[in-house]
Amino acid sequence: MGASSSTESNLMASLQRNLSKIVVAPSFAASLFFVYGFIIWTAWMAFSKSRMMPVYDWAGLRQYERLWQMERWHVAIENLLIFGGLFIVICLFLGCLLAVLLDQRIRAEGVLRTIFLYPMALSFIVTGTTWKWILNPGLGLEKMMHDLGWASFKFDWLVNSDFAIYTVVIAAVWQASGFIMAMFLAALRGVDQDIIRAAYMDGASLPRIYFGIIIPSIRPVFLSAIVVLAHLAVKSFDLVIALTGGGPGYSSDLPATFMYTMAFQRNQLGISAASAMMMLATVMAIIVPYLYSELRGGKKNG
Amino acid sequence: MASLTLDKVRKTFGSVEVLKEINLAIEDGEFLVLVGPSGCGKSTLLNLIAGLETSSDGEIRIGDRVINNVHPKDRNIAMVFQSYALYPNMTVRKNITFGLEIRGVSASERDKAVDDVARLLQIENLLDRKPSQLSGGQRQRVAMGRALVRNPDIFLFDEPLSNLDAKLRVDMRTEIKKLHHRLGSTIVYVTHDQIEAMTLASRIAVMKGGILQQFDTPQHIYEKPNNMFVAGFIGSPSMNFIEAKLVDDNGKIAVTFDNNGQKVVLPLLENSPESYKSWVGKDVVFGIRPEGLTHKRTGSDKPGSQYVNFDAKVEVIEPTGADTMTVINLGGKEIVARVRPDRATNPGEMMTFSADMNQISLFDPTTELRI
Ligand SMILES: Nc1ncnc2c1ncn2[C@@H]1O[C@H](COP(=O)(O)OP(=O)(O)OP(=O)(O)O)[C@@H](O)[C@H]1O
Ligand SMILES: [Mg+2]
Repeated sequence: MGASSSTESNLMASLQRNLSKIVVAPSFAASLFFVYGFIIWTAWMAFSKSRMMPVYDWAGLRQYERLWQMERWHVAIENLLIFGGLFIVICLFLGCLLAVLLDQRIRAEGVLRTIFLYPMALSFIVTGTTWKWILNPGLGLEKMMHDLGWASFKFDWLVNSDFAIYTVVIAAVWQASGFIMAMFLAALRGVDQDIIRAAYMDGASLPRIYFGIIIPSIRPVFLSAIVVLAHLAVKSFDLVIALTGGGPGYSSDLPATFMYTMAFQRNQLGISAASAMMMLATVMAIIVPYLYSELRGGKKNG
Repeated sequence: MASLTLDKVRKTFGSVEVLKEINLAIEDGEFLVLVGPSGCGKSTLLNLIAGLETSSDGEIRIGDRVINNVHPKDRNIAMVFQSYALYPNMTVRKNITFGLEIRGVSASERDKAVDDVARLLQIENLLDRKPSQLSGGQRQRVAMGRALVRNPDIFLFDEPLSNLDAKLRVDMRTEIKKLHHRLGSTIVYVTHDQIEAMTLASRIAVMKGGILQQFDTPQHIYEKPNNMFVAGFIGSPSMNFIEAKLVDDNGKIAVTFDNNGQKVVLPLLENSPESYKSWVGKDVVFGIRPEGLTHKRTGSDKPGSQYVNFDAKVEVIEPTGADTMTVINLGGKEIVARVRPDRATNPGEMMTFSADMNQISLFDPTTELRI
């Protein structure tokens, strides 16, 4: 009797001790399996001979070689560079500018902030579809200008294979720059107002105060913003699908849409897996140094 | 270098009147300290002088020049902020020269100016560091250097020492005072620390609720406070207030108050102001600083002495080393006396105290103004 009650209380005690671990365990196991498990599985696939169905015979770097020989992959990479570069630069610029303007304690700031931030709350599918309508020559902007009487107005980037990728940039910038603005605004609000006053008394003009003092002193936010934007750019998928579908042809393909097409439409599981691994490597190349510097910085400050 | 005049200056934020008709005038080279409790409008007043806020009414003059509508950078005023407000992305050297650079001072002159200021403030070895690599005291020096280098007519300080630890605060206070002597510049200095105000100022402006309570030399404010607020705010430990009555004591005016059932009668000195006469028979507030209330003084028994004795029971003693603060209870109020340590007694015992009638103040209990 005494023995059994003591084992029971032991059990309770160990249950209490480990409760948090027990609660976290299922989601931990799930993410271990579905995220990291499938990363490993994809890495394996990239070394296999898989086409339509996964097979597990070793093919070495064969899939990577085929990938890099494909014209379409090169288009996707080039598009990623164009899209990513423009997207990051324009978002940073616009976000920064909007934040500085909003920081002037203007009236209706709350309303404006919400308006700018709101696109971030939409899914990329909605953004893509909306901009598809706006940019469609027969439906949107061009038609409206024609109806207003400006007959020579022409804006056909959406259906022009040289320019389709830029429409993706427009839509993505529209969606993300408000978020970047919010990041900058938070940082600007953290800047000691006395610094601005001191510079003002020193005789500096407002642009000089911002570009000479305030913005350089919030440099860490730039880094965070770039990391957020870069990973958004690399994994952009739904926006392209909704807006251009990768077309015309494959002229606005990005690596993510390329991967999807290879896996589910072209029966090239191996190439798809190889392209996925290339994307993973790219994201890791951005995130890992960032996390490393953040964590090390945390230790230094702490 | 210049005099500063504020003429009926008012400031409202929306419908809130933060400053009500402030009149101040200081001469060239004076050290004015604005002191008062938090939220009384000290920083607002300083910002008006700096030009960071515009006054709602009234005139601000430097020398003969009205500066109400002059841009801050053209007022030739430099300000040291409480948070130092150093430019975080610039080295100390750049911080100090930034204002000069904007004014188009040549590089060689800038270098010379930095070197002079750095030597004066002993920050020569810090010039190439960033503000984040400096201690609080060093930042304070850099902030002062940034103000000094411009050689302004007037320096403004907004609670410059409140972020420093106690020891450093005392050191910097001395240093600011030395600097003032050396440069002879006009300074307006905001603080809520009355000791800083007393030690630094050539004149003090005590403020409360946006109203200027008293504007005078430190000694005069200490000895003859205009009202009970100023009396209580300046001096530490603060002045004792005792509810009392003025009576006619055999042809002499005397203050009388209740000491646990006994009546204490303290005759006023012969040279007391005439105005006291009209208060005979009325309630007053009797104010006396702790150092005016001591152990029994020699000669206090002689007739005509400035000291008057009374007995009271000691409640608490607080030794500070130099003096022992002895707390007694008069009419339900705690009263602090400053007693020489060797004359102090233990709590619970009776003790004879001397009140120095030269150091008393009387106030009107309703208006709280000095009689
Ligand atoms: N921009 C503003 N809008 C409205 N009210 C303000 C503004 N700035 C200051 N006030 C009010 O004016 C009053 C005086 O403020 P001020 O900053 O001058 O006080 P202070 O004496 O410097 O206090 P502290 O010792 O805390 O620094 C305060 O009641 C404050 O709430
Ligand atoms: Mg203040």
